[in-house]
Amino acid sequence: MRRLLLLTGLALGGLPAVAAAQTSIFSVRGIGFPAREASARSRALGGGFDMFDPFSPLNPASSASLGALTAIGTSSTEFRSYDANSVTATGLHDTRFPLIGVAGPAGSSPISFRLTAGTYADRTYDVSTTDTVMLRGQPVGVTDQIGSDGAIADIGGALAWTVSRHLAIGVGVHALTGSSQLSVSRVFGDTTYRPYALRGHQSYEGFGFDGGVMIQLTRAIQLGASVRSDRRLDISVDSLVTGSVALPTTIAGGLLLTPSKALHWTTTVTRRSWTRAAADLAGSGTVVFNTFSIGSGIELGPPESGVSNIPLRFGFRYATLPFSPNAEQPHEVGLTAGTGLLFAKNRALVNVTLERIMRSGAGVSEHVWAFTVGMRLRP
Amino acid sequence: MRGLTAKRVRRLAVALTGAALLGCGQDVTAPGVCPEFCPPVGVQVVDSIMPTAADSTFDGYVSSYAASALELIAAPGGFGVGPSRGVIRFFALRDSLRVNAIDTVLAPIASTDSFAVQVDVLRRRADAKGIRLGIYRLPTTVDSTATYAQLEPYFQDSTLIGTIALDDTLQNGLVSTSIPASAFPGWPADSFVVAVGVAVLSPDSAWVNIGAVEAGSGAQLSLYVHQDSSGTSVPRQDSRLSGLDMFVAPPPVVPPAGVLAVGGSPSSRVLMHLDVPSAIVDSSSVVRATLLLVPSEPVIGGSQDTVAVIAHALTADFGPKSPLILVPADSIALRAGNALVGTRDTVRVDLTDVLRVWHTHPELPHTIILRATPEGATGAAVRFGTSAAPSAKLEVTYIPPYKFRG
Repeated sequence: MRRLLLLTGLALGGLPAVAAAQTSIFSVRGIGFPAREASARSRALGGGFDMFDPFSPLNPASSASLGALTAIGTSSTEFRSYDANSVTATGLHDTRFPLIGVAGPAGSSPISFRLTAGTYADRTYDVSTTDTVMLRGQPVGVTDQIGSDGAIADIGGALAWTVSRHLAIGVGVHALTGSSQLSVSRVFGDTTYRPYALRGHQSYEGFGFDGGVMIQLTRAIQLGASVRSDRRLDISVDSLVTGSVALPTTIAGGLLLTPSKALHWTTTVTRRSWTRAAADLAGSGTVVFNTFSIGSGIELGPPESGVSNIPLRFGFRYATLPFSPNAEQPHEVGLTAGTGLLFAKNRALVNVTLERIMRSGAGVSEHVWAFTVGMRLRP
Repeated sequence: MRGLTAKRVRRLAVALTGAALLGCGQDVTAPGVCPEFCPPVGVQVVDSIMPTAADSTFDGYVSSYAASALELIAAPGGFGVGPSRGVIRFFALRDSLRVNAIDTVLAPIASTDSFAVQVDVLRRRADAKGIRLGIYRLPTTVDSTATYAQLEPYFQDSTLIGTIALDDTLQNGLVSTSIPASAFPGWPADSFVVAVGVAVLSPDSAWVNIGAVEAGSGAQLSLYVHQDSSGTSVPRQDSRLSGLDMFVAPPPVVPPAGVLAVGGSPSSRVLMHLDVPSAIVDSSSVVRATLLLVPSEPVIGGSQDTVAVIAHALTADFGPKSPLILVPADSIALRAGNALVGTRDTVRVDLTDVLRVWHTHPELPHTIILRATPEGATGAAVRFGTSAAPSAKLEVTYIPPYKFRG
């Protein structure tokens, strides 16, 4: 019990710090930029391991694969630039903690549990614009800054039942919470006009539930599938409900091939019905699309195999994005690579991942370098 | 725990946290790509002009003897006001002094050599040439009730005891002149008191403002004497500041009853009620508020001089004796509206801070007091409208309540 409490505390102690896994110019639209709740290992595999990662909230059955109590923590730093409508921004960077959690078997029973805290959607942006307005019959230059710093957090709990060596099923619930600090300011070029600044606190409330299955077809072939239904997200500003947005249903499937102990090839496909939110977001001029993503990666010397203490991972990911200012749906392509290091008698594992992400569409070309560090601890 | 103890777990956690925090930081500020990637609601700015409500003028706030400066106007130097003279009476001198600084006993003055009068020039008409300050001997009985008519006979050549020529490039600074001892032959008999008058001597239109003791820049009188020090005659000096300083001028033309006036000496103030909608004061953010005063006649005062008018919020509306909310000295220049003497240009007084104070303190009355600054230091005044038909307007630029979008 002490181990569980210690690891739970380590994993969830930083819960309030959970914020956006990614920031993007697309964070301004819709409910924000949908985040990827993935470990450093799964990120290195292009997200192809999301369906089977014991800590991925995508599949509540995946924690059944853990043989011992385990905790993870993840930190991700991004360096970003974009070009949009002749506007170029470079040197943008931020650091976030996209996924932390603790999971493991409930004693010797076939039941496993998992607690995670991750980011559902990023709401971080800080936009600066200049304009000229007519005041008292004279043109006056103004500089506006509109910002949001925060995220919609996903606090998840899941139970998995290992029915047999070939089948595990799981169910989970998700509490969507979190907040953003909103700010708006205007500075006038004519200093006889005083600067204007206002802050607000935006909070989110919603929930969802999911179910999943993992099937070991053969020793070399494993399948996974999950369905998640998120309900409406209520958005409040300074304690007053200002909006409600329908959230999507997520359907995902995955394939894990293990042709040898030293090689994993894993793929995950996901589809989300974001268009359920179209009516709620129409007033803001946001065009909403359903999204599709596929991620696939190869892992040489997986940590479970005992073949190597330093696994190598490569991956590829393609995903469409849900929110756009026009009829063109943006998408992103990612190339990933990563490795890890087992130590402390294989009870600790540090994973590092480097991602190159290219987003385009809706008149935007955005490029991201993301460096993710994750740690897994197993008493 | 074996292998990985709780202590090691904690160390690893600390190391991971440290590694993460080393890279912590955020710079997400980026130029907006609007309207595609800007939040849909922008900041709106609204301009509004509204009339003022009831106004009243009250007189007699600051007299020249309590002002921070003395206004001296040459005979042809005023617009709507007559010439003005400075009146300075110094604190009493003594008939004995210390010969040495460490002496405990005073020694009598053996002989009086001369006097010197020093004044601090604060402002002057910049384009006037050949200005001189004439120093006149005044009766030592002069006091704050003296009038221009009573003192004018003393500003004659026969009582002129010294002059100070102002360099044409001098805009401000200390100036002085030596005055022979014979100029004040009766000073011991007058209880050692000396009083002088100061007037601007200029063939052209000119005026000079000199410092007053109320602002720490009053005139100074120096006495140069000889004393006996063990059989040797030694020179010594003594000094006195002014105990009374003021200026006198012919009374200005009295405006018609009900005319609103700010400034003058003794100074006048205007009590003005503003009917600003609560939607602006209480709910919006005022980014600029300006009171527009349209003079009903040309501003009076020293030619080419300016009158600075400032507005104060009140802690309570008790009419003419309402307590003012003071304005920080370093922001007076930013808030004051300046009126050029001889013109009828609109005077724009900044009220932004007044409306902001009303926003944060809704219990305050929506009433202001307008006064000149410095007050009572000149005869310059702005007259605008009447109580029955105020010509003032309030122009407010504000940002209505901003609503963050859900």
